[in-house]
Amino acid sequence: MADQFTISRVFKAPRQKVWDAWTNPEKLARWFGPKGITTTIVSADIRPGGMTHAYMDGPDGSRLWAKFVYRELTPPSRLVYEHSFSDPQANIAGSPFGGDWPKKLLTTVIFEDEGEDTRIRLSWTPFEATTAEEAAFSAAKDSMAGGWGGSFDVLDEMLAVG
Amino acid sequence: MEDSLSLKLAALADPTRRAIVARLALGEATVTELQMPFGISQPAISRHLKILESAGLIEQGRAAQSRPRRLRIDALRESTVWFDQVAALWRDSFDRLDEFLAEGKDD
Repeated sequence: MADQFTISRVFKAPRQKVWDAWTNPEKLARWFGPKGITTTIVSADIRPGGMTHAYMDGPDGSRLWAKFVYRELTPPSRLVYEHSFSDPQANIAGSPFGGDWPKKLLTTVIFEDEGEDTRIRLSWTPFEATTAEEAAFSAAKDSMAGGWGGSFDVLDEMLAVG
Repeated sequence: MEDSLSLKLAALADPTRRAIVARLALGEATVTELQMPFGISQPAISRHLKILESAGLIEQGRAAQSRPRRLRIDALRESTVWFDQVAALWRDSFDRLDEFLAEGKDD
């Protein structure tokens, strides 16, 4: 059974606005991706069975392709899609980072009202993954949550001093 | 044939092995010292240590009797760089979403 990564965060905007930021391609391109990356949406068909195809350009001139295949959209509360690395032809591709990063990640995003703000709960889980992909995901999971937990404080310091 | 990063990640996929790595960050330790916090059998801890060694994350010292295990910090750093790239995706995206939503407040 595959592991699951979850992250929850509150955004200072009403739900409809936050939903729009995820489901309007021009808006999605403005924020999706690591810092320093510019995201360009090549095609977007944001409804069940449709897909968003995009590339992300890094400051070092690198280009990564990504693909979201939508399963479920229930505005403004639930969005479910399959997240993959891709290529210019919109095929599913392996991770450019190397290692056995899962080729397909099921992404579930729940949008909840919290006063005037919106809480997003996102979960990521490999699907149709090999054992090696599931292992790589499990290993990365703790780090994705912002550190490897209390027992790794010393380790974090050692690695940072470099 | 698995590449070395895959071996490291497979080694770190187990919570007991991650805890062993965390303990070795405090300094080298013998098998007995490593076994104590887990209350698991000697063969079980030895199996975990073999996996970490094969992945190149720990090495054995040469003290004749006890052969303490030591962390290979550079080897571990390779996998944490990889983790950071992955962690950056949602952490950064959410920071950027925050900024984007703040920009549009007058809409």
